[in-house]
Amino acid sequence: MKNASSSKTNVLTSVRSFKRLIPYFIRHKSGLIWGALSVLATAGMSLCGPQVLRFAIDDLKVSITHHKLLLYASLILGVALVEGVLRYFMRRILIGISRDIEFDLRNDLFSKLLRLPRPFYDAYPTGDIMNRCSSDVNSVRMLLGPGIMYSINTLAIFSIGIVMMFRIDVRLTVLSLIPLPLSTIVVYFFSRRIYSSYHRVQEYFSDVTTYLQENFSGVRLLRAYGCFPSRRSRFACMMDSYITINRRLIATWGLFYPMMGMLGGLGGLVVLLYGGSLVISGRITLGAFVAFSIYLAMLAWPMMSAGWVLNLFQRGAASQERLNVILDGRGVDTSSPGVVAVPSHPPGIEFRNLTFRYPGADSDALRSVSFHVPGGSIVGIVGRVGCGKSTLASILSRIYDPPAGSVFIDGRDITAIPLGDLRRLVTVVPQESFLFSETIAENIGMGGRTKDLMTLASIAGLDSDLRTFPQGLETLVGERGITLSGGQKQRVTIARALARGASVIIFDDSLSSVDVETENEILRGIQEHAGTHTLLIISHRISSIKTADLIAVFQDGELHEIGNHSDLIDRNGLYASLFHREEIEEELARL
Amino acid sequence: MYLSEGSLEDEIKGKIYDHRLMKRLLPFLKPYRRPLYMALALILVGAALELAFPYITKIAIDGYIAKRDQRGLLFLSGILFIVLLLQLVCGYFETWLLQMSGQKIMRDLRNRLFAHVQALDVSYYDHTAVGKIMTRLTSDVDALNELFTSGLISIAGDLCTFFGIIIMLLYLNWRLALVTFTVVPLIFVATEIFRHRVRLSYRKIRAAVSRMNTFLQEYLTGMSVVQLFGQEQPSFEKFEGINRQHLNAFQETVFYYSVFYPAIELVAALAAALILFSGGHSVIGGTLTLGALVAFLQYSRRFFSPISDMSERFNIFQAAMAAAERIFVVLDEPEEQRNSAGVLPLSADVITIAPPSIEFQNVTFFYDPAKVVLQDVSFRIGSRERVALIGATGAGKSTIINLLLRLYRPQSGRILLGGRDLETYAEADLRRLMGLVSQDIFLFSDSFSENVSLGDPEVTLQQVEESCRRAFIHDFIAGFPDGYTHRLAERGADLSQGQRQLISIARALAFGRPVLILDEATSSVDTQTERLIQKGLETLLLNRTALVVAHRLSTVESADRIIVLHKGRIREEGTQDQLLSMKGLYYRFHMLQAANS
Ligand SMILES: Nc1ncnc2c1ncn2[C@@H]1O[C@H](COP(=O)(O)OP(=O)(O)OP(=O)(O)O)[C@@H](O)[C@H]1O
Ligand SMILES: Nc1ncnc2c1ncn2[C@@H]1O[C@H](COP(=O)(O)OP(=O)(O)OP(=O)(O)O)[C@@H](O)[C@H]1O
Ligand SMILES: [Mg+2]
Repeated sequence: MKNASSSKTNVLTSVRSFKRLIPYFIRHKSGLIWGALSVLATAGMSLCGPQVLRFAIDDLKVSITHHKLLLYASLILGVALVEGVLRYFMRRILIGISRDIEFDLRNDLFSKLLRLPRPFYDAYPTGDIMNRCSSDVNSVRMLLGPGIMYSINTLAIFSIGIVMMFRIDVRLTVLSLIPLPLSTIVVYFFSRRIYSSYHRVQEYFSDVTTYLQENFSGVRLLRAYGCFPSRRSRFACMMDSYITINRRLIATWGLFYPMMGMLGGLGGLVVLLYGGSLVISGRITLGAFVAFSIYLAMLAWPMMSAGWVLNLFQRGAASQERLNVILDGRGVDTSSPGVVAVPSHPPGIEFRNLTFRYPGADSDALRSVSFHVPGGSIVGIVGRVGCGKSTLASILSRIYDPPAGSVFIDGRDITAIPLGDLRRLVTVVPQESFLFSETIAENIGMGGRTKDLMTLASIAGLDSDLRTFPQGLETLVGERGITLSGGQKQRVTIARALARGASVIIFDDSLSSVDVETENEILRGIQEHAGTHTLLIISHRISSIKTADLIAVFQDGELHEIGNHSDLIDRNGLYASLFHREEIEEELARL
Repeated sequence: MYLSEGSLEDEIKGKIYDHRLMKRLLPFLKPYRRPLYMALALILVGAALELAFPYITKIAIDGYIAKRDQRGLLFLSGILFIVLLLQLVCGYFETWLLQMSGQKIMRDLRNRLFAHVQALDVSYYDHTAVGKIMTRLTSDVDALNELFTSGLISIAGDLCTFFGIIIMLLYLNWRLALVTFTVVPLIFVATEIFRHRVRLSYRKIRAAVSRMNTFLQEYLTGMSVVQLFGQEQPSFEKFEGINRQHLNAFQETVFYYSVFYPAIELVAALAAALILFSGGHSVIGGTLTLGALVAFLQYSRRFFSPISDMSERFNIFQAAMAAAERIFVVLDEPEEQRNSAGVLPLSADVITIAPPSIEFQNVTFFYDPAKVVLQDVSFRIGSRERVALIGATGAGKSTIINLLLRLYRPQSGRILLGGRDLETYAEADLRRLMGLVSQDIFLFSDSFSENVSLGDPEVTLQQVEESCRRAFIHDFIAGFPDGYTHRLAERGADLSQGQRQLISIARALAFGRPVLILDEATSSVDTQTERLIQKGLETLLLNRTALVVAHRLSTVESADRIIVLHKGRIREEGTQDQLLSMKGLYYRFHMLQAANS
């Protein structure tokens, strides 16, 4: 579950992970070029300033006219003005582009997420994916904007600066740059440590996020059981470990910057000592001395920021890798090219020796299931808890893909039907009701139909409830439909499925939270669809599927028996015993 | 209605500095005042050391270089080295102290928020998206941390450098200093305009971030539904809209920053030009040494960096104040409003002698004033009695349970538990009395055993296993190679619905509370398994008070009494025979079900 990228990433793999970003760069090609040019120009201009100062001071040392002084002053101002304009473009263009890329990247992520199949979501918790979409995208953005801007800037200032310094005095330059290789070592050493600590901090925080999220989502349960005192202390423990994990990062950080400052300062020390004596011996002028120290101060900043930039790169690389898990995920094409049109007749379904195992599970959820559902019939599916009924529904709607050649609709292998088309053809009322925090109308309308929702609602037996809601269909439901009763939620999902207008509808235990009277009403409404639709009704109550054309009884992932009610009763097998037991219970209840 | 109202709160104005908020934040700093003061002291020392550089240059130029004193230069270099070393030490300890205190402050704040949020009325969660609460605990707290670590303390350092330089400049040459200071008003005007603009965009950014988190949280959890119903395109469009708001808000700040930074540098250059021009004249006139001029130029460079740093900190302040405000909005949410004065200790007899009775007296309740859910509901469940609550969907059965669990409070009427008003129970006592299988099943991405015991240390592994056997889920769990330590996916998504329900039944059994509340506990379980579970429950329920909600009459047949709820009112009540002979609602339900089989 945790990605494999932990800590040991070297520079090569991190560079490779950026390959994904190339298309984004290409999209902003011209902007990037202009941006880079303005960075270079800015760097060039910023190195002119000290030159002006140098001449001014040397002139001052001898003597200087009022006009010349005025000239120098206005030169400084002029240079700054040009530099300012360039700097504006540099930031505006490059940082702006990094925000644009962030926007594109996030859109692409979400668009990929919309196409990733269920197994992906089984493997990555929501909190983790959310972290990737927010803080990882952000680190990549930091790398793209400030990272690129400063690295070009650093390189430019560095190379021009060194040239300028060489022109003042070669020996002085060489001596004052002695700390440079040292700082490279420091940067290298520290950034590795920072990278790995940062990675650990991120991973841990992901766990914290997941923990929090579950505690808030499950608040009713935890409150009812009075679990919060122990949860609080567990959370406090997590927070303490979080500090422990951060400690290493802080210690490294804390040493890194001052260390770089120190190394930069050592160069200044050389200038003072050696440069000073050069001035004394008359080999360089005082103006050159001042200009040199300003240059060195300017180089010290790139030296320090080199570390920072490197750090940005490493965080960015780590994050990019985490994003690539999503971006490189094998998405499914959910478009609906209309290759397989919704047929005018209800399609038949055939299972041929279907065996299915969930990814990562150790046993098959379904084993050699074969049966045929004639088009337009009503099929009841019964069986004990966990025997594979919902799995069958997931496979028919390809939430999980079956092996090729095992499930056919109207004679076509469903794995060969474009997913979008298939889902227009087949729709499911999932066993667990999930609603979005939108209005009831929007939730039902999700199915596709937006008109006449009231008719659908009344087929789903929802109309009398809607009448009691002050806002009727426009009532907003809470997250996951929390403000509706269990039965209301379930019936909204039924209406949503009916709105889809698919010709195969699977009801996965969709009446479990509904009372008998309402159930009967809904079943009556649904049965009116028979003939024009192929209906699969999964249920735990034999009474609700007794009248079906075909009843499939599952046991432990296998099809145990199949036939209509009277056939199965005659057979006196599992179904018959289930039925009799239920009947006896009803009898008992009546006594 | 609800959610949109909530998101307005994200757009609350953030001020740069809000006295009220700061006053409320200070208590969080208090435990760490010693390291923080130490960090402050180190920063001041660091700032002073920083000021030494230009002065050393001045001494070098005017003193040793002019006098051609090599030895003196060496001595000066020695001093510079010591300054550098001191800076290293100060820098390290400052970061360490600040960051560690920051981490601890965040920990305290998060603990406090966590404790508070989970103690809020459950109705808070009805209209607050989980994603939003998460934002408070994660990125908002981070924003505050920035304030403590890079904002507050560093601003002291900046101020110190700022005033230090003013003093140095005045000391070097007061006339030139005054000339330099003429540009300061420009800086303040620029900063003021900038600050105002950025504040507006910051508000938008916060709102966009929160909206994005909430959206992602919901759509990622409901991804299967999105895909099943072919909603990819509409969902993408919604996301893109939010993402675009996010982008636009940021692009605004990019613009302001791109203008602001060069503007500050331009002003700095203006100062340098002024110094050169007017200082140059003084040098010619002999009232200023060349070294002093150079030092002046160096100081003036440093003079502007704290100012532009401070504007950077506006950011931090801005974000932090906005975050603090939202955090305090959460912390100000009243915790469960119970008259704590009336809380009575739990007498031992309530648990040990007899399971408590339950009594509703004229309870009226609504979630939303426009729609009364329970009207004048009164009933009594005796100790050790088993009562079934039935009624059409949406009648208010789960609501009665919510009230009994004190997740919500009735607007009028009283609820008695063990003869005592529910309000007089301390939270912990109340929770020890009731076990629940709720209609909404919730499982954690944790092991089987943690899911049953909920991490409660009082529930032993043996109890976990025993109750899983009773719930007929033991064999299934034992089938995993890692058995009870097998970790479930988020919300138990890798189990079948029925299996999830069985686990929540096992959970209720493991806790063995004297009052058992079952809300549609076996709705997703096949008749055969249900039968077996009920048999197992028989003995367990003998010594318990139980409230059972079910739609299947077979589930409730063994109840001592049945209450029929209809549209929020109690319509019928009595034993099964009594109800049947009344030929009322229950009779109708009964006949319907009989007709089905
Ligand atoms: N948190 C809430 N906020 C607002 N309204 C709610 C909330 N919870 C439930 N309701 C409303 O209160 C009414 C009663 O709901 P309740 O859950 O008590 O019904 P129920 O009898 O348990 O129904 P079911 O058998 O379908 O579970 C319903 O109309 C529902 O929409
Ligand atoms: N995502 C998954 N990953 C691994 N195993 C799974 C997953 N979903 C279900 N299973 C397992 O597959 C088996 C069949 O589950 P399925 O949901 O099809 O049962 P069901 O017949 O619908 O049961 P119920 O009546 O409880 O709804 C169960 O043992 C379950 O634990
Ligand atoms: Mg309910």
